[in-house]
Order: sequence, then C-alpha cells, then structure tokens
Amino acid sequence: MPQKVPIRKEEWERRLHEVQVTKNDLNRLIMDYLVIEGYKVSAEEFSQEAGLTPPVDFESIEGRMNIREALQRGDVEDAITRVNDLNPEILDTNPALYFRLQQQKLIEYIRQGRIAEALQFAQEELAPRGQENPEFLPELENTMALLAFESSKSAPESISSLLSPNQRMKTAGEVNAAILESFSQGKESKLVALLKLLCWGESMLEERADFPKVEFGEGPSRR
Amino acid sequence: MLTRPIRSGIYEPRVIRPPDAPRSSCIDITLPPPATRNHRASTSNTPTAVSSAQGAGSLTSSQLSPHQTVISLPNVPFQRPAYLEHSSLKHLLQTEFPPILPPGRYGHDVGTLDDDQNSRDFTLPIPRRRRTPLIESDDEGPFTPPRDLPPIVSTYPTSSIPLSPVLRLPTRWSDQDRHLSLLVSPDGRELTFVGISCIGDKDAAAARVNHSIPAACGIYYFEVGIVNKGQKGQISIGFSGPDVRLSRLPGWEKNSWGYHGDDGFSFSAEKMGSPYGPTYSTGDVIGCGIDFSQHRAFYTKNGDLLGSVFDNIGKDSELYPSVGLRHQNESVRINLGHDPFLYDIEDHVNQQRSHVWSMIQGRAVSPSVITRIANSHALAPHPDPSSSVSDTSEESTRHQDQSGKRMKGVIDGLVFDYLVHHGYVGAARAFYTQMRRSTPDRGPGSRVDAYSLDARSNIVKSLIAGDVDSALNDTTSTFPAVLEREQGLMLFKLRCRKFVELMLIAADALKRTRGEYIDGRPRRAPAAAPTEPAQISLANALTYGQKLELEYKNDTRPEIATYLKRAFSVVAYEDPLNVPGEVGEIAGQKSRNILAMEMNEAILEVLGKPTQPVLEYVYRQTGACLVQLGLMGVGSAVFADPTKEFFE
Repeated sequence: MPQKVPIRKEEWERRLHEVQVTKNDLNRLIMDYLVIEGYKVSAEEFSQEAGLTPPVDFESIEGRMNIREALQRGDVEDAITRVNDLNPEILDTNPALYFRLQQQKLIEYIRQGRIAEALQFAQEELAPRGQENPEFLPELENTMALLAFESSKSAPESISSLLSPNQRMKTAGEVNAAILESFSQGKESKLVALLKLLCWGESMLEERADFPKVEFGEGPSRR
Repeated sequence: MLTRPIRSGIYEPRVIRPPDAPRSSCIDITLPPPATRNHRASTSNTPTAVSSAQGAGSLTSSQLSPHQTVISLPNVPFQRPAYLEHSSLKHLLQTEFPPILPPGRYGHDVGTLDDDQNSRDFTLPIPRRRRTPLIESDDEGPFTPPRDLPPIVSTYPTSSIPLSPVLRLPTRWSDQDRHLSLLVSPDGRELTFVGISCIGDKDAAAARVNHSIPAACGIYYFEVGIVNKGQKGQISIGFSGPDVRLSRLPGWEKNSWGYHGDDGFSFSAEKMGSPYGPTYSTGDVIGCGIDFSQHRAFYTKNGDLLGSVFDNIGKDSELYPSVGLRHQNESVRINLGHDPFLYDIEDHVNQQRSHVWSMIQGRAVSPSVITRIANSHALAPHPDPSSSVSDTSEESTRHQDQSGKRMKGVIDGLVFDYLVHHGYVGAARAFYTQMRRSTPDRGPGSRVDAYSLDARSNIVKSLIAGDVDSALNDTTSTFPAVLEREQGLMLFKLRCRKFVELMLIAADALKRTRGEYIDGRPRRAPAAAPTEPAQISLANALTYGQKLELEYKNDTRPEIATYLKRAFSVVAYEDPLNVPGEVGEIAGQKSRNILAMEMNEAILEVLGKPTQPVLEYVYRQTGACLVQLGLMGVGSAVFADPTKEFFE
C-alpha cells in the first residue's frame, strides 16, 4: 500500500477556491431538482425570481404529480388512465412498468381485503403476462404469497414490505422516471448525480491522500 | 499506403517552401539544413510553415528515396488535439502552441496567468475573493473581478508551488533521448535508422518523445506511419519509462510495452511476446493509445481498432511514446496530433467517458455523506428524525427504502437552504409548503423566517433595483452591525454606489432635456444646452460625491481609494451606462448585483450564518476531489466532469 499523500488545509482550501462554478450553474441544479421532483409551484416561483427559463412547461410537472399522488393513495386505475392520457406510448413500450402497475393494483386489492377480486385479477391479468415475460414471475409469486399470509405478522419482510407505503412510493418513482424519460428528461435529478460523484471522488481520494473533509456548513473561511 | 500523391518529381529532393510564398522567390534547400534551421520551433513560431502534409498517412518522399536524409519541414507547433477536450483538466494540457482563449465556457489557461490583472475575459482558477458570479442569471460566464479593484481581503497566502501545474504534451521526438543510430528529422517527427543494422536478437535502437504522457489526459493517443520498413520490418511501437535502455525494443525491457511489425506480437516486458494483431509494414499507420482510466493500452491499424492489450500499464512510472528500430533505412513518422488521426479517437474517448460516468452513477450515495450533509451547519438544528431508524433496520430492502427517503429529505433540506440563502423568498416559501406536504415528518423545521429572509431579501432587491437609500435605511434599522463591520466598509460601498446612482439620474435627466427620448425612444435631435432639471441633478450628484471624497480621503486602506476612484470614473462620461468596458460595467446592472450579493453575505455573516449555501460547499468539495485525483494520475477522474455533465 503506497503511502498516502498529505494535503494541508490551506492547500485544500485553495483547491476548493479554484473550482469553477457560477451562481447560475447552481440555480440550474436547483431548477432541475424542482422539476424532476415535481415541485411545480416552487419551480414557477424560482423561475421568476432567478430569471431562469424552465426546462419544461409547468403543466407537465402537474400531470406527473397527479399520477404520483394517485399511486400514493392507492388509486392505481386512476394513475394508469392519467399516464395514458399523458402519453399512451409510455405503457405500450414498457411492459415491465405496466406489470409493476398491475402488481400494485393487486397489492391494493389485497390491502383492502378484496381477496376474490384479487384472485380473479391475478389469474386474468397478471398470470398471462408472467407467461409472456418469465422474468416477471418471481415478483408475481412474491405478490401472490401475500394471499397466503394475509394479514399475519409472520410474513417474511420481503413479502410484507409489499404492503408498506414504501412500495407505493417505489412504484410511483418508477412511473415518474418512465414519464421523464419519455420527455427525454433525465430521470434522476442532477443533485443526486452530484452526491454520487462526491461519494466516488472522496472515496477514491481517501485511498491516496489525507485531505480535509470539510464540514459543509463551515467550508473555507473567507479570511 | 499513401494518402496523397507526392507533389514534386519522384526523385526530386524535398524543398522548404512556405505554401503561400511565390515560387520564384523561394530558395530551395536541398542540403541538410544549417544548424540555425534546426532549432526547435517552440520559439520560432512560423505559421507559414504549417504542415503541408495532411493526415497521418501522408508519408514524405523519403519513402521513395530512402537514402535521402534531407528533411524539409521545420518543427511546427500544433494545437492540443481535439480528443483531449474530454479531459476535465484539458486546460492544463498544453502543447507548445500558444493557447487559444477562451474556447469554452470556462476557457481558461492556467499556465499563462499569474494574477487577476490580465484576465478580464476568462476565468481564473487562481485564488480570488469571489467564487461565484454575483450576477443573478443573465450571464453564462464566470465572474471576473473588475480590473482595478484589488482583492478587498487577501484571502489566501500565495504559495510558491503552483497548485495546478501546466502539463506538457509530447510534441516531437527527443533530440537527446534516442539511440545514436537514429536520426531525428528537423521537424522532430521522423525517425530514421542510419547506423549499422543490428545483428542477433538483442540489440536495437529506440527513441522516446520529448515529454512524458500526462495521466490527466485520461486517454492519450498517437499514430506512427511506417515510412520505410527496411529489410525486415522489425519495428516496435509502444511506450517506455524514462530509464529503459535505448538499445532495446519497447516491450523487451521492464517498464516498456510494444507491438511489433514483423510478427504482430505484443510485448510487455518479455522476450517472447504473445500474438496480438496483424503484421505491419511500409505505408501502414499504426495508432497507439493508453487508457489511464483502465490502465490498458490499445492499438489501431490504418484507422481500425485492434483491441485492448497490456494490464496495469502506466500505474507506477511515467511513460513516453517510444519506437524501436533495428535495421538500416527503417523509418517512421509520428503524429502526436500534428495532423488529423486516421482512427476516430474522439469517439473512442467519448465512449470511455460515458462508461466512467455510468459506473459512478451506478453507485449508491453513501450514508455517511448523507449524514454529513444532514449535519451541516445550516441544517443542523433540525435533525432528521428518521436518521437513527435506518440504522436499526435489519432488512436490506427496507434499509434501502429508508435511506432513499432519508436522502430525499436531506436533498430537500439542501435545496431549501439554497433558496433561503440567496433570498429567493417566493420559491423558499412555496418549496417549504410543498416539502411539508410530500414528506410531512421530516425536512427542516419551520425556518422560512430564520435567517431574516424577508428583511434580507428586501435589502437585496432594493440594491438590485438601484435604490440605495431604501437598502441603507433598512440595513440601519434591521442589521446595523453590517454597516459597522470592517470599519464601515459596507457603508462606504453603499455610499459609493449611491453616488453612481445619482450620476446615472443626472445622465438620464440630461438625455431627457435634450429630447433624446420621445416616448422612450431615442430621437435624433440637435444638442441643446442642458436645462434646469438636468443641471440640478448633476449638481446634486457632484455635491454628494465631493462630500464622499472629503470624508474618506484620509482613509489609508488601499481598497477605499480604489473603490472611490472607480466610482468617480463615471463622472467623465455623459452617458456612463453606454460606455463600453469598465466604466459601463461600474455604472451598470452587474455592479448593482455584485453589491447586492456582497450585502447578502455580509448580513448572513453578521447573523452568524455560513456565507455560502451548503450546496456550493458540496459542489466545491466534489470538484476539488476530482481535480486532485486527476493530478495524481487517476485517469477516470478526468472523465468525471461535472461541468460537462451538468451544465453543457
């Protein structure tokens, strides 16, 4: 293991200082986040106050958010209708996503205790899809296992977690990403990409150098 | 393989002839050039001699007259090859050609600059007081400090060691670092074996280029045209370290690698070699690349990729492009970016760059970074209630969900901090409401009114609008400490701005009385004598200015004098706003915005808050890590370029 290079604090502060970034750049990162995460009102306000042209029209943000909210309250049917209203190609060209939505629908039936409907739905809608795309089968089996355990507490985490609100968020997130992609927008915000880059950069540098990891609230001092 | 016909008669010796020079006046030089012509063009800078050869395959006539050792072209400086634009440290990579400024959004060139004084049009990576432009959003360009305004506070001690050194790119064969049997042409590109052919299988004659390959290239590539394969074509093209013996072919010795023409084998510090590619001979162009993001090499033949080869190359020692020859008359010509490459190296580099980016983006954000951001000063008073939960969760799926949710909360906090910091009141309020709705149990507490958002924002807005009086009144009543800090520096700046604003009012009044405006549009009208309102506002402004000068003329702080001088420079012009250059800038909106941003930071400082949003620290820390890694030779880091990925 080669010895790590020590980097003095002053040297590092100069390094930080030299990084090229403008306020406009950071504004654009913020705007990107507001749009992708669907903060429509904030995006409108920000675009006005910062004099930034938004990358998309605000109505499409709203449409996306309605779909997300429908999924989060468990109304899968409404979400599917809205996705198709927005752009019918999204589900047509993405069988995995459509399966995910159908799976969510099944979960919602089970959650509501509508077991007969759940069974019928699974046999008529989901099973044929599983046959067409064998890669969906494990997920389908997992979901069907919910019926076996019903509301018992003994279900393994991987199965019971399907009933958690997180599963709804996960589905909503996937739909959101697919819609963004259909608008040829990045599906993950640049802020998340920046954090990933930070993690990678710091971990690579840690192997080679001892450098100050600034506390983000303090940072380099002005004088 | 010739890509262009030989221009002159077949056995006619080549001639030095500037392309544009009239033929009649041209002196043909058919003898070996005298020493004076033999000097390196790094100093001679002869643009008329820009190579007449096009493409790496354009072999010179020595191919047809192997005994002719008279070489024509002088060393010609060339630009940094285009494929190197993919490196985030491209501005440090230089040939001897004078750098062109500024090609891109951050077109700066470190090596040629030493301070702020000569750098109005491009950004300096050199320490400066300001790190972000103070312009709101009207400008893509980075902020550069005004010319005559020295840094108010010298922020960093200047180090004698350059933080980001210039990295020299190879430009020619070395005159010294070559076996004596090899002759280097005056243009530095051709290498010919002139000694007695080597016998047996031990000896050879190798040469290296003049500079080692900076790993900050990410990928480095060059092409070698085989001018004459001689009798056996025992040529090796590759890389070697600085201490590798020159009496051996690249690839035979430790710390050297080569691809041999006679058998197509690749050699990596070994005598036997392994089958790699086709053989090559006269007329072929062999490309040779090293990828520091994978520590692998690759070759091309006549523009086609042959594939990846050699592991762990370039990890331990600096490397030079190197060629080894063994027999009389063997001759090669190197293209280090002098001419366009046969292989589409730009596409190659671009693909590797995307590959590195996807690799990085395929990783998860580490919990420790999330925690650091969550604990950052600005967001600290409101610890995320879920932060401890995720650590106790046993199930990995659940853990992921939790940390995803937590990350969203933390990023929301980051965004909120940013909006509040810069005083985007409307956006901050709207965001706060929406944030609470989407994740009601987390996110920063009710802090919309923390940081004196409203009062601060009003002052900032007044300054942006040029209303210094309102800003001054509000500051006096809400943040009096701001005006007192640094012996009243901010107060002084506000008053200077006030003076400039008064001058602008006077200039405007003058325009009106001259009738230059009709319904807001300029009219061509004969100049009339200034009438009363204009005279009054001018007198007002001057009175204020004189008072200002009187009050501060004994202040010995250098920045006071400079600032005052700048403010008064507008007096010389009737219409300062439309004076191009510095005066226009002092008078104009940009200066208002700069002052507004300084004011914002001064208030935050007085409030005991960080003077920059957390997001900016995060960005700078990221950028600094990547630059440091790139300079330490981690090739993949130069392909992870946030500027390119986020802002282009």
